[in-house]
Amino acid sequence: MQANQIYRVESECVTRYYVWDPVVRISHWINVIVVGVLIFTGLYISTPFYRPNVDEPFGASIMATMKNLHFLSAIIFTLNGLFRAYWWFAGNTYRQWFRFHIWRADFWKEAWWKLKDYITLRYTDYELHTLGHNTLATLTYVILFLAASVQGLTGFAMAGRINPGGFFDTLFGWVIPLFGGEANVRMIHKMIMWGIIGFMIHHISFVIYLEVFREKGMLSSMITGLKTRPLGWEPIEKPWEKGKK
Amino acid sequence: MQRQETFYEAVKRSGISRRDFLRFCLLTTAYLGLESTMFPKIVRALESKPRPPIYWLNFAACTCCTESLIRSSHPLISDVILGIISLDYMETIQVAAGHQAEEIVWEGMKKNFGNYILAVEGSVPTKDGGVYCTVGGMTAIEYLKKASQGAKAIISVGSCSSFGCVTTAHPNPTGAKPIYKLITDKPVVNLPGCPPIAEVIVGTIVHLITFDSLPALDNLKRPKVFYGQRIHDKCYRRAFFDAGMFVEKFDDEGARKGWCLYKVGCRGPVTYNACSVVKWNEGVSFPIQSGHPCLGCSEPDYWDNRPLYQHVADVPLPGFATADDIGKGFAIGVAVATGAHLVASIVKKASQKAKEAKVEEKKKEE
Ligand code: HEM
Ligand code: SF4
Ligand code: SF4
Repeated sequence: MQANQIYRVESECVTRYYVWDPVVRISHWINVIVVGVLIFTGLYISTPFYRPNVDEPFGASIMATMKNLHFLSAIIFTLNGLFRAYWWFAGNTYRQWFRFHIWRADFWKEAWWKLKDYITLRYTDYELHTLGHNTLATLTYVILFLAASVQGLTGFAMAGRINPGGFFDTLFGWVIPLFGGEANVRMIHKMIMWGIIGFMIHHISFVIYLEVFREKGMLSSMITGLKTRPLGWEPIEKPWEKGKK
Repeated sequence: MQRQETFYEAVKRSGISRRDFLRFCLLTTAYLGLESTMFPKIVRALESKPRPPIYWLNFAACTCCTESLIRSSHPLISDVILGIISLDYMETIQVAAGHQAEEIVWEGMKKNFGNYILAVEGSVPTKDGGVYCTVGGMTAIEYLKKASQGAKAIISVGSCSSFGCVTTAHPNPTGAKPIYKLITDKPVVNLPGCPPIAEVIVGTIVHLITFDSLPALDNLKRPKVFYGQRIHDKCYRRAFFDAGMFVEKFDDEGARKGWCLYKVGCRGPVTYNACSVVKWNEGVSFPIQSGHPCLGCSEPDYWDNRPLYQHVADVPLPGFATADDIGKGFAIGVAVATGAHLVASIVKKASQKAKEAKVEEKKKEE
């Protein structure tokens, strides 16, 4: 399949567009599991809410296990993220949808229009490329990606200090003075976790809404790769310019 | 030039036996993390090398570092320290005072130009021309600049002079700065701690005498031997941490049983110091051993990482709030906004459908 070709399936009442290739889908569900584990174990590390019912510390290793799980998931999360970044350029379908032209005025006009469109509850489907992400969503995902990168950097920097001068410390030690000491690094790590949780609340609510009430196939597209539009739907070119006239 | 007396001669003069001297050398070898083969080298150096004069300057500080040093109750250490630091000048305990003292210091520095060690306790206020701290008629800045000219090395003793401590805490009205930010053309070693451990101060000086060099330093100019590891990684309560057994409140059962102090704010996991290894007062105890969480007193700007009884510092926005409060607020805000948006969307769609249905009904009627 060529990059610019749109693969569609027509059924009796809807058109389905093939949007997410298997790599994107698998990588997404890995993220779901791993971020879930990261948040759970991270919250435990931060506020250990369960105390093992023992008198002596032998045999119990809850905190140590949580930390190990956190670190293991962090490594998977990072590798997954790096691969995903590579896929922006190499991926078959996703690349096609990924347009992040912040240096162009059109990008911001489009994002602003989409924000208004979204707040006024219109949910307009417009250009074909927005089957993947509309501009506003693209902006959100780029910010999310940056946040996740800072999360990784601060995390590995903290992990590195277990063995000063060791592998992770050599690679990520510079992060600590950058953020003004380890106390701040932890604080930032924690703040970003809450940011990610905020994103997740919105993300999950809306994919469900768009799946169930709007029948756009948002949620199922991460399983089948197909998004749905009504039969006979025609893309609208540059709707934000029409609005002005 | 008159031959300077060696360290050994000095301690002998003050009545310390050969045996005690050797014990001191052995202890210091161990503290410095050196192999036992280095022991003779240290003995020889302290026997033969001239004792370098040390001038101890006090600027904006509380003098707890001096206290830590001279009150160190280890009979060897305390005597030896007073022997080792020839203490040609140390305001707290010197005999001379006033003009006489100032004369001694500048005379001595001139005579030993290029050879003496400068130990600095306290940070240097820099605002308004440095008027907030003056010694002998000079501002601390002038004093420090002048005194450091002939110094072989500068030892920043304590958190104030190393990184900033109570004197540099936000909002830092006197513009106090640590030494390494002001003196950049001399080797500076930081010995943070509020106060630093006496053995750490002495060990660093012995290293200087023995090897004519500072011990290996990390990126914050701290000797790696003493500050290379977190309190947490050598803490004897670590088993309780790993197990998940925490003191919830001071005075609860866990506190009595000596469980980990993480939840009452222990900063051991982000603090680099020798407390959990060398300990305090002849190795009797250290804060965590006596049931108090580590405050992170040897970390840069530790007063600003407030509050002290919380392992993650508050976010320094106006008013200070915990990362958790802000984060939860954010998450709840998102949840409420999302919920409102969803409800509005659903209602809108439903009313649209109702309208369409009505229109159709009308059509049918017609
Ligand atoms: C979605 C991603 C992540 C989330 C939500 C998350 C969350 C958290 C939270 C809440 C804490 C507790 C902070 C505290 O109170 O001290 C924590 C600690 C930690 N995180 Fe993460 N984290 C994430 C990613 C990572 C990554 C990629 C790494 C890289 C290795 C990492 C390494 C660490 C380490 C080492 C700690 C322990 C800090 C300590 O010594 O207490 N984290 N994480
Ligand atoms: S008491 Fe502090 S330093 Fe010791 S194991 Fe617990 S958290 Fe770490
Ligand atoms: S245990 Fe922590 S707060 Fe206490 S003296 Fe040592 S480094 Fe400072």
